[in-house]
Amino acid sequence: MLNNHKKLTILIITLWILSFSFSLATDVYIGSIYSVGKKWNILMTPFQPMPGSQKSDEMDHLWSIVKNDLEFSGYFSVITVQKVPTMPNSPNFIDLGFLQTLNLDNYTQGAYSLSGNRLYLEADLMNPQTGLRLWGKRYRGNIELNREMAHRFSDEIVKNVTSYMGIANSKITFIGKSGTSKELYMMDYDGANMVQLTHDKSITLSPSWSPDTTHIAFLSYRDGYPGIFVINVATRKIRKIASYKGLNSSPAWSPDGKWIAAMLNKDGDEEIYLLDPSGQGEPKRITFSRGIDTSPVWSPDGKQLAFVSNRSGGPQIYIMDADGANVRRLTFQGSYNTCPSWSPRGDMIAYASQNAGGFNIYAISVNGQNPIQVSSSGGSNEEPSWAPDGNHIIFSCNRGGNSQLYTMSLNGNGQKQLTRLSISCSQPNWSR
Amino acid sequence: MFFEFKKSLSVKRSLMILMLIGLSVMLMISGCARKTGAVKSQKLDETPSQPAKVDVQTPPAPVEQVAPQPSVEDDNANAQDATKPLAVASSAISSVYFSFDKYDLSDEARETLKKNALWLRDNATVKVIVEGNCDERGTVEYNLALGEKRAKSVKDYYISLGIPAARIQTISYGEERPVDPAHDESAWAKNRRSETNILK
Repeated sequence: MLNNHKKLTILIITLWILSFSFSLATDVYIGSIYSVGKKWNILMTPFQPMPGSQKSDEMDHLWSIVKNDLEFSGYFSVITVQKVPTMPNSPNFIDLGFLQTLNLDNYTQGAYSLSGNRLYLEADLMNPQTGLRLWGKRYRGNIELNREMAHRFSDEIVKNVTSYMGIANSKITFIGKSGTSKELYMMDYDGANMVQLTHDKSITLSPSWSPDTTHIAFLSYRDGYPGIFVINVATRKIRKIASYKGLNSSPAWSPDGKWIAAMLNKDGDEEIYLLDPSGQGEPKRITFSRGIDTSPVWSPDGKQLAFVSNRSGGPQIYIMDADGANVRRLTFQGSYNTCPSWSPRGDMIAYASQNAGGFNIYAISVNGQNPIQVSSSGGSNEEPSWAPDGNHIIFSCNRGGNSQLYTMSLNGNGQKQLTRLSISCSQPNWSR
Repeated sequence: MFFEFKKSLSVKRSLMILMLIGLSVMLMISGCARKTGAVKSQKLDETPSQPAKVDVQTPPAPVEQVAPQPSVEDDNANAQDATKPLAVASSAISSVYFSFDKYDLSDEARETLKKNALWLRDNATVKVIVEGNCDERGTVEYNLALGEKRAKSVKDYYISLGIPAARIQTISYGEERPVDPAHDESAWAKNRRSETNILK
């Protein structure tokens, strides 16, 4: 007759072997094609101080950053417990039975130590069926980089569980209006670490990230006339790259970083040109239709551009090859469609469409099929920009009075107000 | 507990489970005690099946710490203060107004511009800048282009009335400079305008 402890041992081993075979079944989801609605159940326990290190409230907050990242990603249902119970008679053995009752796909834990302003974070993703570590990451850095560490860990979890890239380390640039001046801002994707980049007391518009997130191209009246400038976000140094006679507007950095598409009317009509980001060389004109052609945006492979043209009357979205060939109209529903943004997955273009109550965000497939309305709440929902994961869209809306930035998932669910600032916020652009 | 666990599984898998139970017992008997250590999850060094990837990362210095470069200060000093306009309005010159998303001149607008042109002819040394403006309802970038079209319509009409092109600049402010900040049709009608102002 086996005593209780031996029974338990057999149980644990049996569960471990069984769950090994089941974890293979779970593996089927890993790397499978993302479908809206599929969520992984993940258990999180608070980060613990390492032996010899003191407990820190700030590190508790760090853990909640990871939790927010995972929830925002849309891939996870986050379950939290303060501590996973251990087996009654064996404090070194976690209670796998308890984990079973939570129906988990994954489970994370982490430990930190603080020494002066140096933070060391060790975080793991665990298999809840076996209690085995699937992988771990260690981060070391100054304490003020704690948010970045948390975001990196979140992105690792997303990548390892879903095989898609996370967006927790992405940035958002936007325009903030205070009084009569509009200035350039940037912030983390969750609204933290907001920085005002220009102090020109002028009109600043249309920010566009360089693909490596080191520079932002924008339009500014800082010289009195509208010109296109590039700012280095680390040094804050600003360079002028286009100040031709008339309007220089709507810069959009190409995915390979080699071009900035923009609207110029130096030749007498509002046309789209490709500029060298260094400001050298002659702009290369790529549209040749009378009337307005503006708001160029690149396809993720850099081979095509979407833009706004009024060549058929009101503003509509068009697509062309990057050399200007094969122009075709994309939108036919609605009489005022502007602000295109090309999905990083390549298959959809989001835009703002005017209807009776104002604007709403729509998404249309690049072959022109099935435009769907994504935003539906009140106010004017404008200026969509895709997150690098292709699942989320940031946009501006004045539903609360002054314009603020909101995010939503592609199916319009999960709308979240990202900024609650006294300045009015517009023209968000999400880094790649 | 064992029984409950079995119950939660599909009938289809029962046979496989029985086989696995048998296998597990065999494994235990064959001295697999080492494996039991694997469930001690808290110990990072006891993960024989999956050694952890260690990645010591030193992230780049945070943006907030970077002090502005002197050259930035220079650039800022050169920036045009938006509160100091390029040009000033004259009581002798009137604005003209446009329909939504339009830049063609109405008969009324033409009459106004003819009067403006007479004054410009009498004051031949004056140079002007024609501003194009829009109401807030459109979108920023399209309105910039639309404002430029409105300014160009006015400039072209002045030229047709004999005012030399060299005396006329254009600038678009899109929807950035409303004269009436209200959000109604009356305000929008006032904001869809082209002003002709005297260059300083």
